[in-house]
Amino acid sequence: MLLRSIYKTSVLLALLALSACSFQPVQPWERDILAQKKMQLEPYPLDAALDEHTYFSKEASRGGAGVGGGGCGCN
Amino acid sequence: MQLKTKPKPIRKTLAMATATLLGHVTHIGTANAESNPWEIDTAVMSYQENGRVSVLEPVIRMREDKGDDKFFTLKLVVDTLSGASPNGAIPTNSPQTFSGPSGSSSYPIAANTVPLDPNFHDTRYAINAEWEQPAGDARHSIYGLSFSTETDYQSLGASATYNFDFNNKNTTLTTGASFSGDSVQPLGGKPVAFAVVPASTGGGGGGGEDEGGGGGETSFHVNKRVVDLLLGVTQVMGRKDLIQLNFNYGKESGYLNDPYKLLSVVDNTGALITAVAPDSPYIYEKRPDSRNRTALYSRWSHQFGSDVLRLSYRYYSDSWGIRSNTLDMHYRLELGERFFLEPHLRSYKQTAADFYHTSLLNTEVATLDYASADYRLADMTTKTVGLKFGWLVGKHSEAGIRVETITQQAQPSRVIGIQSQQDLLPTVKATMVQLNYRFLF
Repeated sequence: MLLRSIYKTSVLLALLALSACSFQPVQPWERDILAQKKMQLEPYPLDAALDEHTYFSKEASRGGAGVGGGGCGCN
Repeated sequence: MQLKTKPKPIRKTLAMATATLLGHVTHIGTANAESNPWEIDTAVMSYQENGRVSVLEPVIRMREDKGDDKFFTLKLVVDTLSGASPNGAIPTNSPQTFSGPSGSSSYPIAANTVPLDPNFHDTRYAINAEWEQPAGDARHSIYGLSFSTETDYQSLGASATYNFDFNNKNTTLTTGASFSGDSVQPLGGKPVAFAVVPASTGGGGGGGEDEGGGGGETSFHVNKRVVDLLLGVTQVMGRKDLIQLNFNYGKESGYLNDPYKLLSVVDNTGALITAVAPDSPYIYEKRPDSRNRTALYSRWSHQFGSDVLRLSYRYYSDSWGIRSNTLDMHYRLELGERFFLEPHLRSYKQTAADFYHTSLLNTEVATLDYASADYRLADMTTKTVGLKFGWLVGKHSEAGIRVETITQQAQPSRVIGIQSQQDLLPTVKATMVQLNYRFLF
């Protein structure tokens, strides 16, 4: 299971790296849109943390977005 | 010459100037070491399930820009939980009575009703601190510490994340690791896995506060360890596109049971039957003492005009046999320069754990290594529909209100005989309301 997931990830990362080569790099002075807070991957960290806590308590899956954050009994 | 020898300050200045300018037009931006070093983010969440648990959770997050790309973040959470939670037993056509976790209180359950333990009241306090700093020209690191405590559970954790930028900061490689050491003190002592739950005495005698009855061990302190490793890449795909792909491996070990969850033991007609002792048809659950999990997570932010679409997808699998797919979508719709609406849709589907059993046949009790009737380990779907309304209150402050409905539907692993007359796993509906206020000073 672990090996298969690592394999899948490696393939995806390789594809991503290759596709990145085909994109024109964005220069720092062209980052007007990317610099906006709303364009961040997690523009509202509290919303994300509260959601993560809720679903961690109500579902059997966790993880993916980052590491750290703390534990919970969540019965 | 100057551009060649010292290009970075000019690029940085330009990027910062653009960001600052935009910050004042469409959003309040972020903390800035010179003018407004503190960014204060507050929220209060209310979560209410129909007839079950309710949660009130205020949070404050304070982030200080210390200058030179160094940031300190402190987050405090209070999580107040009350109400009733399923104890794992199945509804039956006659009334049932259960003893509470301490053995001293009991609660009756009416016929044809899902058994809910009404004794859940707890307050959890959590604190997180993070320090973020550059680690060379194109690297930065984030170190975190976390602590949380509630009546029967404490957690102490540490984490470290390193980000490496290259390709003119269009690509960022992220590596992260975290560890947490948790301590569990089940109320009434640690139940012996698969032991018969002591018969309810109806409050007329029996165990004291710290006595688990016939099924309890006198050990009040058990441990759990959680390790997570993360490898990810973030790629700028153009001026309006940002994507991220993460791989997360986690290992949990130690006491992974839920000490308050039971299993109903039935005969081949589906009726409750006393399993081992003559006085109770319920036994405590038993889960493996380790769990390996992997998650593949991707997300994408794209700007359409001034609106922003955020999509994420996660594939998850673990050594308990659970596989899940999660799709999440936010669409931020700008309403002029001061307001926005953000619909949110989330769809989640998981397969059951190998050892999930809605009920157990009495002939199976001696043959199984593990069993749990916790519906959160069943075949299950969750659907979330939400809407957020946000507005810029002033130059340096932003407020928001978010309302969501969450619907969960689990499927029984098996329906035996007369159990078909019961709704073994009714739909769980919850409503979440959250208020946000964020400001700089």
